[in-house]
Amino acid sequence: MLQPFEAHRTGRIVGAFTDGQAGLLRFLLAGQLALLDEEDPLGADPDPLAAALGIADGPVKKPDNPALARLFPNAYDDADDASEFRRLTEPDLREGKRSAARQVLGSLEGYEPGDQVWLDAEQARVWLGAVNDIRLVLAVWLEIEDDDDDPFERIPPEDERYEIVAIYHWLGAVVEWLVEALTG
Amino acid sequence: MSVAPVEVVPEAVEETRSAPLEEPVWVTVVWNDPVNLMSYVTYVFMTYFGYSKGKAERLMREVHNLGKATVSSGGREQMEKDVAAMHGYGLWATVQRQDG
Repeated sequence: MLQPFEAHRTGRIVGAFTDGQAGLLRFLLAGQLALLDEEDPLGADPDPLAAALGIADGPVKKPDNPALARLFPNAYDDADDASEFRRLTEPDLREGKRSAARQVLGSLEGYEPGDQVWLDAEQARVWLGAVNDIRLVLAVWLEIEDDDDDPFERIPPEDERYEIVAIYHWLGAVVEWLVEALTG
Repeated sequence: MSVAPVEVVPEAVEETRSAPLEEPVWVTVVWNDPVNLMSYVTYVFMTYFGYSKGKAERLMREVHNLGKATVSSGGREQMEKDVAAMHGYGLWATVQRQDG
């Protein structure tokens, strides 16, 4: 598979995808946005005034959906401290992840094979975060729980999740390419 | 944004005041997970903390080999900022008392 990202001599990063890859990314990003709206007491459109004043209250308990719980883990062992931290930080974290997914989705809108996606360093960082978040969520579905676990060995081809394993590995390669383009 | 609680343990305040040169008592701990790639974790430590590639890789290896690493230390408020940032990047991090 062709490397989708390369550092260009202008300092920007240029990406190119097959039709399938672009469609897949759009599908995954839309799924990520739907996930980020789940169990959100503030909803997708929080009260703008409260949000502007920074007084919008977040949730106090860990999300039930394990994928969301992975994206927003407890920050303290102590339950009260964890709850207070979550109440004050989760809305901003959610919004940051939403905004990243929306930006990446936007940059792929109307993408046709042969098009190039040009990213400056900041946009590449947004891409990297959004793609990495999708990997985290897929890993929850695939129940990847330790370093030595290779889901390709564990999940048989007839399992409906088998294709997800390939997508998970491809997203890992995308992460590697973006890190390389940003730091190499 | 600060998420440090309003109530402060009085003894802790006294201790800090009487011994201002004591080591900071709060740390940011990053935990190993099987998903985040080593190159990505190194990139996060370099990008967010401004650590050199060598230091970032050393900390990444500590996380990978020992299951966790202390990646920053300081006041509680700053540690909460750091942990929130790590969660933003998708790393699993917690705030802890340095002695705990």
